[in-house]
Amino acid sequence: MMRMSQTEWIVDLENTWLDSLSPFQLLLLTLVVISTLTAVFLVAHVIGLMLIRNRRKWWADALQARIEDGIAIWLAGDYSIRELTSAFQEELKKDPGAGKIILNVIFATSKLLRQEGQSALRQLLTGLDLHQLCYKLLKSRHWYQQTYATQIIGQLQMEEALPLLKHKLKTKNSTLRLELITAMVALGDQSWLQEIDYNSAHLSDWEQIVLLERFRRLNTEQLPPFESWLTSAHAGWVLFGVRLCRHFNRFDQVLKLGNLLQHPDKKVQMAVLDAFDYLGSPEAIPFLIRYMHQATGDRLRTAIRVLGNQGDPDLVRLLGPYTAHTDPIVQLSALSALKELGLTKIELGQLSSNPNYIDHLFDPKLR
Amino acid sequence: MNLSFWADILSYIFLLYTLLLMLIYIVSALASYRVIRKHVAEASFVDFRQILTSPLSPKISIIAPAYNEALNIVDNAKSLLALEYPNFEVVIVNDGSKDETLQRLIDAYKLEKTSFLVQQQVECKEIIGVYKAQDEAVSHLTVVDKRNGGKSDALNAGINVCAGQLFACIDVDCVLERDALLRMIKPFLEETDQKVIATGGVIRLANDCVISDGRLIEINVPRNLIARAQVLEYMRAFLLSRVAWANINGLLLISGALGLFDKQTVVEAGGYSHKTVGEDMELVMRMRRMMEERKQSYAVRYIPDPLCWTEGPTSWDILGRQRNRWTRGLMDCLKFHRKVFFNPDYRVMGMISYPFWFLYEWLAPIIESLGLIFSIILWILGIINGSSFWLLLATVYSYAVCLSCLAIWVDQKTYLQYRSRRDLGRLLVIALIEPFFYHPFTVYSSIQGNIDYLRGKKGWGSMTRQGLSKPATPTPSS
Repeated sequence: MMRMSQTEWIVDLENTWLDSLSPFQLLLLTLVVISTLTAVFLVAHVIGLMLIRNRRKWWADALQARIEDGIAIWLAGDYSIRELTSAFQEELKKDPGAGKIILNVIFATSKLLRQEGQSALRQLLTGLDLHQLCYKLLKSRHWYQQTYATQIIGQLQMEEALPLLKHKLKTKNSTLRLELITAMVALGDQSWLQEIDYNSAHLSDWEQIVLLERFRRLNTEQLPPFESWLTSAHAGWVLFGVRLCRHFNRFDQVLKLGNLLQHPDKKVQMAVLDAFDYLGSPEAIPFLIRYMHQATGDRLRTAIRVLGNQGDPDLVRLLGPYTAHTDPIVQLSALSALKELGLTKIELGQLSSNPNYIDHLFDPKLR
Repeated sequence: MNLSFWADILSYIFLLYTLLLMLIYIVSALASYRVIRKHVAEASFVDFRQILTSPLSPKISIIAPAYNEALNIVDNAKSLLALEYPNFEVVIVNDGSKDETLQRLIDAYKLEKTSFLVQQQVECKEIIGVYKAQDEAVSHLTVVDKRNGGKSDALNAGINVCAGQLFACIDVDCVLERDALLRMIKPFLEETDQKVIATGGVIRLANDCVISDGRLIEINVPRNLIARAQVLEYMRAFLLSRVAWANINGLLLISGALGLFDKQTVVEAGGYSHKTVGEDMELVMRMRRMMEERKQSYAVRYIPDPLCWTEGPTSWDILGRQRNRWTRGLMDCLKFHRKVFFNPDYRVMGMISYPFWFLYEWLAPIIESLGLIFSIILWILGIINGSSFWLLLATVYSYAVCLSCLAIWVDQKTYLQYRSRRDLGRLLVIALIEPFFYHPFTVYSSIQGNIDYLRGKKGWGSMTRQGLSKPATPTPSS
């Protein structure tokens, strides 16, 4: 029997089996072929990824080790910056892809160095022309590349990049925006306060946590004039301003903070109560007393607790009636505040109708 | 009209259903991949340790119900107490254990009974005592001793005792990543326009993984074929589906093994329900319904990072009981909240999520079985020929394999949990053979769950766990 060639076999298949399939069967066959081909492609890609990853990792690890060694020798004073630059230039000549790895290592090293060390690294970066790579990344379409470049610019204090950073401030990507603000504060440029349209921008609690942590690392004189945020039209920035006043012990802002207890945003009110609790200023007491008459729920309980922490015995008369409040949690808060103000177990027992509250408050095992 | 005509009609209905299901899975897989890529990129810029020193981090209470967990409870508590977060407490609820669960905790942490004032915010059985550690190092541990009432009752007791603005409900025998709370808190903090009411995390199987001191040391694909098939199943569910649902704010289920909730919203919704074995899904659906009815802007978020490692069943018997219970829980949820079915007042929940769960999560095993039986009958009767029958099976099989390969590919492109050639090979092999033995069994268990539900069966049934890198321990669940 003669063997059919490959082409003949396909033609035969088309003429016989495929022709005999109904539209329903053809649809099924198409789905089988598409699914199978997709699965094969995915498996091949996964295997390819694994192979490439292993090879790339080996190359990158070796290169990174050489660069780290070079920088370590330079830091030890055995290499001049010129020698180091020329050694790294050799690496760049061998493989232009080495640029990103060198940048990574320089960035990682810069985090470990003091302010003075940054200028030498900046010089190294410029010598290798890698600052251009930074700018290129900053101009890229992808937010993550822009963010990475911004981190490096801020860390290495590359002041010449300031106009580029300002240009990006209106971004909607919060990760990038955080890094931009951090970089500009690190570069000592406060003009971003005017540049950024903070009256209309949202500022989440997450952004506030990150920025607060970064501001904490700065000296007082480097801090942005955050008091101006207390009058912002956007609650997020007001909230952040209040939190910064608390954190940086701004006793001079107590009056402004007191007025913010009338702010429509409940989170702002709670932040002011927290600030008063932390600052412990007697100037806050009149604001708190006034606030007690309008607050309910959580805010009332917090206001009572804050007043209890003020240590003013005159407040006993004010807090007394709250031990008979309709909300049992408010009652407990009032009793707790009165305990803080120095009332004894017997005195509190006379005020409360529920002995369990007193047991709870005076149980030494419950701290 | 002859039999052939009706056979054609039914065939096209089955085909349409299948094609739609395939389309939904593919669309959600692609959407998930996009979201995960963005999430991974963003996470690479986030230093979660910043929360550790921040005075702005909200308090989190971890609620872990325990029933007859004496053998591992001290280790489990140790693991929870060592989580990274600046402001948290661990509330272990001893749900009327018949063994020494409570005593072991008392001895290990030198607990003392307190006069703690319990606020009955949600319904739960009598709390016998609240214990606190006197050692400053573990002052964030609270143990609640209560009458037995089941998992939802124990969680409600925890809610009544806990002090956090947010609470995480977890299975006490799960292994959490050290930074799980740091990662899960982020969605609550970054929303400005809507209230995040709950966040879920990815659950992965820890069978055959190396765990030491409550920490995951080495990730391996399990040797046991049932567990291995579940690894793939979890990858498909968590990497290809839930992330996409969360992206359109359509998530109805946050696994009971790990979820972070806004306490105020949960209390207002009434806490966990005692009426169902699907209490985790039921709570999310009730919270969502409440928010929709109040016209409040809200979100249910999902973290695609693998945060929680749990032990999967390794025997057919236990797997069957687990799937049976899941089906009954799902049927309860669908029944309790039938009002939202295609109800535009409930927006995404009513128009997309609920119908999907109804048509493709609950009905899929039934329709799949009916479709198979129907095709066999048609083949026997000679209405369809052998080619059609085998093509139909080949379509379903090749699609299932393709979807599994897609899940493996997404994992390799993002989290890269299984790095070795051996693990990758094991996953690919199970992707090829799982449709022959594992999937049919889960379909069977699901149908059994439907039958049991109609017969009025309640309760969890017993679950036996081997223990994660620990001595084997039988733990009948409450």
